[in-house]
Amino acid sequence: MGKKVLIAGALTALGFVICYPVIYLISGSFMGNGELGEGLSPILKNGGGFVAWHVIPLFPTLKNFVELLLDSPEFFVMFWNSVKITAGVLAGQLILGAPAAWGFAKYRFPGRKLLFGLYVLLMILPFQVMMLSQYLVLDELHLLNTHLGIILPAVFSTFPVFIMVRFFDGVPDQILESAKIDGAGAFQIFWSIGLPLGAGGIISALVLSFLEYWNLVEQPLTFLKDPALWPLSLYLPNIDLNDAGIAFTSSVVTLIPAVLVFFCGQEYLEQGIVASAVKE
Amino acid sequence: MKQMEQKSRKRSLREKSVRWLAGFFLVMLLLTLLSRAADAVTVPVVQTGYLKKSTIDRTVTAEGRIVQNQERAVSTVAGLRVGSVPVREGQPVAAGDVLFELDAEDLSEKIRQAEQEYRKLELALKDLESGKDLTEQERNKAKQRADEDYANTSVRTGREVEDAERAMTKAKEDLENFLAGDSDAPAEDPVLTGLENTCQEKQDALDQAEQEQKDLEQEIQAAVAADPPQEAEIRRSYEAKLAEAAERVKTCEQEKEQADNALESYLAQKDAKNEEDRGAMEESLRAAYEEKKKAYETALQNRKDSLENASRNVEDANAPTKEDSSGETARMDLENKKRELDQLKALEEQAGKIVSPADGLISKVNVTTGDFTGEGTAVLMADLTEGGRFQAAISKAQEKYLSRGDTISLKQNGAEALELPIDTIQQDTENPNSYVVTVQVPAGTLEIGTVAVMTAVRQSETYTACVPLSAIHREDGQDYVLAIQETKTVLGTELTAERIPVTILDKNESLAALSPGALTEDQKLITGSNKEVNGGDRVRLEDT
Repeated sequence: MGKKVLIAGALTALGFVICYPVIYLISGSFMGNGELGEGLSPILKNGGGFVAWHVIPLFPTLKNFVELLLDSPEFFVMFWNSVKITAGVLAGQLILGAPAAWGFAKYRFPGRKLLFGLYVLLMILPFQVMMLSQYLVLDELHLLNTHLGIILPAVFSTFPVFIMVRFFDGVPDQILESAKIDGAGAFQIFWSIGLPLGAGGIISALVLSFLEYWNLVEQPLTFLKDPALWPLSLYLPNIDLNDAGIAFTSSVVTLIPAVLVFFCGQEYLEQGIVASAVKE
Repeated sequence: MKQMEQKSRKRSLREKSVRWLAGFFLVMLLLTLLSRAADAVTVPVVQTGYLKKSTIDRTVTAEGRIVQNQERAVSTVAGLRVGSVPVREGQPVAAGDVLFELDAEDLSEKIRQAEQEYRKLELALKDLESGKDLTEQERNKAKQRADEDYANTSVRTGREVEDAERAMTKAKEDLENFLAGDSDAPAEDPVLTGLENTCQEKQDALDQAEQEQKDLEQEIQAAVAADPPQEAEIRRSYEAKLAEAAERVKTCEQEKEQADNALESYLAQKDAKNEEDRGAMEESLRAAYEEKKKAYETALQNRKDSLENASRNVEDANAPTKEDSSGETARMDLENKKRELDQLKALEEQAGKIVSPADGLISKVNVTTGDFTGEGTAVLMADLTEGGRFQAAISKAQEKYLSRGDTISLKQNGAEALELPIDTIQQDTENPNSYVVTVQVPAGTLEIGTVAVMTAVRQSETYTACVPLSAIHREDGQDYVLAIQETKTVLGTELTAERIPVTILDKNESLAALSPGALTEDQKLITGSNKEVNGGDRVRLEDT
């Protein structure tokens, strides 16, 4: 019993430490500008001392939420931009990545290992390395300053393919063979057998992609000049003391869909981790 | 079992999350619409315009009335009773219309009175004139007498003076004669003659002696010359003769001197005696002369005095008499009375009717039935034949834009507008901030007494950059306009108001001219808005 409590206690403490930024964020979003100013002045205004914070705000107010949600149409424009980009990316990845993964998983073709190795390599490369070449290519394709300029490179991202390959690997070959015997075509096999059985992987890949592209910063910053196209992650590039309240609030609002989506796909993610662990 | 539970819990969590996610997006959609609506409400809606080339016109409008240019005053002899007044103020009359009528009885009574007075004056004048004649006659007589006296005095005293003068002259002559005659009187005086002869003899003797001496000298010389070596001897021989000659000369000189002295003393004696005699004579003559001279002077003075008196009398007699203008005055009175009488008689001939001299409009009637006419105007009327003038009051600010000679447009309800030049602009004496504009209206166009509106437009030079006045704002002493600027924001292409400072060159009530260079021709300027717009605000264009 004591052990359980100890473990629970340790885990809670650890959890708290990990969750603290989020708690900080949520409490800050309910604070008025004065209190925020006080708390943040050491950082943002070169005041003396350390940042002091009250977990529960002294003077809670909904002013920031009202200001953000009712008085700032720009926020919503950017919100829907984020939604558009993310949805586009997910759709694209679903349409293109799933078959690619299925192909990698179930088909043996010459150069497969090499190609897969290339995929892994590309997965590792950070964006900054590819930024310049990507810029030039997009410029040639006249895709700069458009959402497609962000969606298309993301659609062909290799990371979801990689994850889905692992899942598709878990689909037993016997089923495929029996389906083939029954006369199913390749596409039919993929559509009717591969997708349902690999749904977990697909969804987990999509969830991870969502989390990645919901918070995408570098590509929009680089490729989107028109402020009307910016996603939510670029809402407040500069935080100063006047906008601290808005920054907190917008962060909280941005956080909510991510959290909800994660909750949706949590099961599948767990499944995925389990699946990758268990090899048939 | 536990797994199932877990699974079901997870599933419900998933489903809940999905529901929540859907709900979240729905809420976000709603809030999007709400925030856009709220934003739209707060964004000002503006009307815009561009710079244009225009003149700044100043329009001065004023309402005024037409007044007559000329007034006629109709009056008549004062003190007459008025019988009837058929006209009233504001009534138009034609030339020849009866303005008012005088009471006939009163008029004839007045005429009779006037005639009597005239008669009286005539008689008074005659008396005056006869009086004047008498005075004149007396004066002439006095003058004549004075002149005669003067002439007589002149003659009498002239003679006296002449006599005195003659006496004086004679006395003077005697004196002078006496003084002059003495010089050639020396009667034959034998003593003197004798002495003079002696002097002469002695003189001759002297001359002789001298001559002999000289001859002797010459002789010696000659002898010497003839025989020079014997000079000393010769001289010795002549020595005695020389001494003798010299002795003789000396004697002669002495004798002469004596004779001269005797003559001199005798003369002196004689002179002294003469002097005495002469002195006495001279004195008596001189005294006589002085006396005569004094008598003459007295006579002169007497004459002078008498003449002066007489001439003074003449002067007095001729002196101008005091101006007597009573005659003149009486004559004038008579003339006036005659005129008055004539006037009254003329009125009688007209049957006491006073008519209008010309077409016009009655402005004022000063006579009432039954009352007497006064000294001043009986009826005042506006003379329509001279036309009228339009008068309007304008403010000091408006006066700046008008000047004499400018053409204005005068409009009356129901009539066409007339283009007329401004006659005068004068400061109103009662109100220094107000000016009166006068415009001559030609006869027959607008009626006197009516109201009209004048409009004057003054054009300035053409300015290339003109904006409506509503586009100009002022802050901290600086004028500025708001131009539309397109900016790319998160919400798309947005319009913001940009504040551009400008300088106003000229302006009127609706337009302002700006100095060029601050704005370009294609810049949209905010001319009006439904809300206050500051620099940097987002704006929305009005849907046209």
